[in-house]
Amino acid sequence: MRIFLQPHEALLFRTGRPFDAGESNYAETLFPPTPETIQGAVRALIASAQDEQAALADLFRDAKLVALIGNRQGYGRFRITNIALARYPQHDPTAIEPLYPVPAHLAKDKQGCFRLLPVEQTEISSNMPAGMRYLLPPEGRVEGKIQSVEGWLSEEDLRRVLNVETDLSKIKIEVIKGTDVYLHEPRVGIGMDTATKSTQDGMFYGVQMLRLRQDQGFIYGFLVDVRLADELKPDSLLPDEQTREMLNLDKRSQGWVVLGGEQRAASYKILDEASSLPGQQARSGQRTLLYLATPAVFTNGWKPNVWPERHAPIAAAVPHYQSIGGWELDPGQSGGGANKKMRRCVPAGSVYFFASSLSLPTTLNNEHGKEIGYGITIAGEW
Amino acid sequence: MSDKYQYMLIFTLGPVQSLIAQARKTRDLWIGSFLLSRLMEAAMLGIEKKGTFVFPGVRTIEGNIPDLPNKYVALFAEKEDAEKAACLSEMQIAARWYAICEEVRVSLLSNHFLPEVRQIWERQISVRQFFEIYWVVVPGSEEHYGKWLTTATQVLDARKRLRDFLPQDEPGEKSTISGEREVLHGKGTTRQEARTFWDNLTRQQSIKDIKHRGAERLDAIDSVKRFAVLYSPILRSNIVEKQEEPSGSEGAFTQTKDIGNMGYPSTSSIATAQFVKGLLSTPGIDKQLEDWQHLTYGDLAQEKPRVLPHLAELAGARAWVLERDGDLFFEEAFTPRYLKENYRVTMRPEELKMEKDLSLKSPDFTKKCLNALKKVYQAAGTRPTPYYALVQMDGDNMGNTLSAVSGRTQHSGMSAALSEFARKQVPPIVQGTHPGRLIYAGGDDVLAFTPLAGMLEMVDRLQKQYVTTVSPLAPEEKRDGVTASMGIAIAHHFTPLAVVRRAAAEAEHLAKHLYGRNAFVVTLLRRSGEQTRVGCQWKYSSFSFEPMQLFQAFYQYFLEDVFSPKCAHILLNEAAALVDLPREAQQAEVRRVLRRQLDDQQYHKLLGQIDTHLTAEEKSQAIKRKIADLAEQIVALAEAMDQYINEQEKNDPPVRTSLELHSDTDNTLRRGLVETLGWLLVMAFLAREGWEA
Repeated sequence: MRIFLQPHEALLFRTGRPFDAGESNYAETLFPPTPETIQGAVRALIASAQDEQAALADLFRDAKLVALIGNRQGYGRFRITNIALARYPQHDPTAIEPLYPVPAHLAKDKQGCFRLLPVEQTEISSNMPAGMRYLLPPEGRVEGKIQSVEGWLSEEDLRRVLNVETDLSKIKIEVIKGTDVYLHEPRVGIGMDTATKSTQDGMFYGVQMLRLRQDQGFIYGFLVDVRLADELKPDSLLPDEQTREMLNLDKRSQGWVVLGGEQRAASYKILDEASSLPGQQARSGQRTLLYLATPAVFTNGWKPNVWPERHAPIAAAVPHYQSIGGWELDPGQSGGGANKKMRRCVPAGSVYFFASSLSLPTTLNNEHGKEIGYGITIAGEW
Repeated sequence: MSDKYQYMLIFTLGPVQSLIAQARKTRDLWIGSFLLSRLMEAAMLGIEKKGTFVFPGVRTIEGNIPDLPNKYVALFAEKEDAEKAACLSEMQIAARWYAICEEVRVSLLSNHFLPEVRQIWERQISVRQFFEIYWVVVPGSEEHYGKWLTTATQVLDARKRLRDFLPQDEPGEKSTISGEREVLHGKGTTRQEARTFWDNLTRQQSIKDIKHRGAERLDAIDSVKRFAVLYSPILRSNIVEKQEEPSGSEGAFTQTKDIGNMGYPSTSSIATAQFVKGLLSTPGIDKQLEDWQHLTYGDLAQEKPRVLPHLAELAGARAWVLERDGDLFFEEAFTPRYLKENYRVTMRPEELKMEKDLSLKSPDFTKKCLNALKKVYQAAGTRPTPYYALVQMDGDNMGNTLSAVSGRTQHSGMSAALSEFARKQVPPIVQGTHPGRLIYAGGDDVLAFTPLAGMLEMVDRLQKQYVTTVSPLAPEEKRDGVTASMGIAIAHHFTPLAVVRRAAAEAEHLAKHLYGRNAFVVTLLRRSGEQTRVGCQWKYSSFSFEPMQLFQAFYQYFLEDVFSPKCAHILLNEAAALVDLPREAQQAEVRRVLRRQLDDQQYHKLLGQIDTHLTAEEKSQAIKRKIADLAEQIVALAEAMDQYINEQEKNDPPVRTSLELHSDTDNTLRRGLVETLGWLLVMAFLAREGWEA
């Protein structure tokens, strides 16, 4: 079941820094929202769809619903199989396309984009982890300074970058930058004394929100693919139609949902098309690379404890870790809840290179939050 | 030691973000930089036994300014020696870091080092967990030194593409600074329990060092950054006192032996520096300052007087003024809540029973202070601006320039020039002859606070000095590329520092990547939340003046009310229609608007030294000519900017253009006339807020 979330207000996806009146008076926002935020919004919309008049706290007392989508203690049979930033052209609301973080091995110079490739450099020594090669530009390629590429790619461009047979010098890759997608929108406010209807001394605060742009020809939002796990075989997923029916969403195609901090409104639309994992593209005989479309948590930090088919990669492009925590909302209490554990995550866009062809589909062994969209892996080749 | 080198070691230390950028107080920024320099100092000890440094030119800190870069380059004859040197550097960093941490721990936590605190502390300060050290040893030949250096730099970049890290889970409440790591706490894990732990821990600390009542709750790394300046002799050691140079000379600044004693100015003190300079130098106002002096004596006089060296040099008989933080020059400071939170002062006797560290003032204390402050404003003839600036500078094309060096001698020469610039030339410009204060100056990187008055001159001097110092040492064919880009964030003194720091970094990034390097970008963060960003190159080949000259001229005109700032607003409203008109038509409209917005009482200031023998008609003609010149310059600068845009439109992807001043994306340039008029708006803001004494 594919859901498109379209924000209609400025958004706030808070960092872990405390934000308390009179103490810490400034809150910043992250972008894109983490899987923790998205799963919270989607589970709340599913719960609300059962009875729009009921309070969330009451809905989560229903054992049948909890068995399907979980509660604070677990995720039940709820599975997110993809999360992506998404957009559609202003003139065609049906043409929603997912956008993916630029793979970390894509670089550019004066001539344009190119792929960095693993190179063995036996004469060089460094504190590179054992067995890992250096990612360098193809021989004779560089003109001017090598720059990293940041932003998002369309699904089609991602496919091209991950397909070794596509000559990037002959095509145009559109990189969508953060500033194409959103604008920061600072807000200020001051605490009020409700009794005297006057402002409170020392209660001035600021919030850095962001607004998804609508002036660049596109409307932006988020795509989320949701499935239910099979009750008897939890590793298998139920088909879309059955998922939708069991979640009582089969007769509903749109509605409203709260997204992020400050109770901001977004609309949701359930799309007709079937959801699917992003394509596993590598072919047999080609060396495989695995690309992370969403952040992943591994037992050993930048690497999982077990590699796919026990083949360790020969190189990896892993940018600085992303710390992801979040707020565990207690629907029973207004403003209640607790800080979640903050974990170091391998950021979305990271790429692992393997020396041979892996059997597909495969995935990197993400050790936390698989159910809610952490560690979504797409295979490619190099 | 052989002088035939075959191996190049490049060693880098991070994370810069956690050590420097995560800061709530200005002092956090400074001490974060200082820690990084101190650790690099340790990293470079003993390396010369087997190797030769080519970068940086100096390897020990000499004053209170962190001026060592977070990278070194050294050459070795043997690969094994280079590898051993890298390992030695890692060990020396670890040893110094743990020693500094231990000094802080013993002084800050000795009575509170519960098992829960120990567990968090040891997890967070772990060198393997916290630091990001990358090094490469690359073989090569001195005969092809430039290529060798380029290859080694590319391999280091490749090493950094895999930012291997260990897992680290941080449960519960997070630090109010980093927001990422668990706050130090006792048995209880809730926010209120963490608040209580920090309340107990910090009762004996100065309110200037940390907020009381548990309002600031720190993790281990943030605690080391906040308290190392107080408790770590290692951080404060080996400070060489520099002899004071003759008064009035360019380098008239002193450095104290103990950086802890020197302190660091708050954003309020930086914003008010020019106002304070006026108070120090205005004769005959002692009587008017008397009430405020007495009222702010004692509990409120907690500032270290040398936080702004330039003002300390000027202090004279009114040195007592410098013992007050800049916030005391604002009416907002004199509210019961602010005084209690920031100075532990109360006017309510009943509060003393609950909070014994408070000191009691009379019930009408705030009223008296506000009255006294009014007299201070009268004495100064003005009020202080609440705005200040953070300036971030970085040399351009450094990799490209170094790729052409002929050998290690030339590389070492450039390294020495960079050190000369950072250590000898930047401090006098920023804090010797101007009331600013450096955060760091390492090689081609500078980060500094400055009041608004004199800021334009300061940044212009910095970039010119950089070019003058470094360019002659660069390979001849690369000298034109030795330039500097700068990002300047102007912000209200109560704006969170993290926001200002990020705005300055983004402005510098735009100066390099949108405005084409050799450029400067100003981001104005108004208290209301509205932002204005303008950018410009320091020079354009098709514009015979330096843009800064034009901007400074308008700054002066706005300051002296020669023109109303409305001229910029009117022209901006018309800009969409004007940009595609012929040059002469644009000039005519700019002339018309300037003429209409010229103040009839102040117009003579447009001519500078007016010739009293001129007839009225001759004066009128002279004014006309001056306005025509200004209009010509505005349009010529706009054309120069448009020419740059035309060149960028050939790029892939082509740069976008906009007619909106507030279309801030990182690949959109405003049309030249809009950008130039945006600069005039910023000049009007500086003139209104900057106040030149």
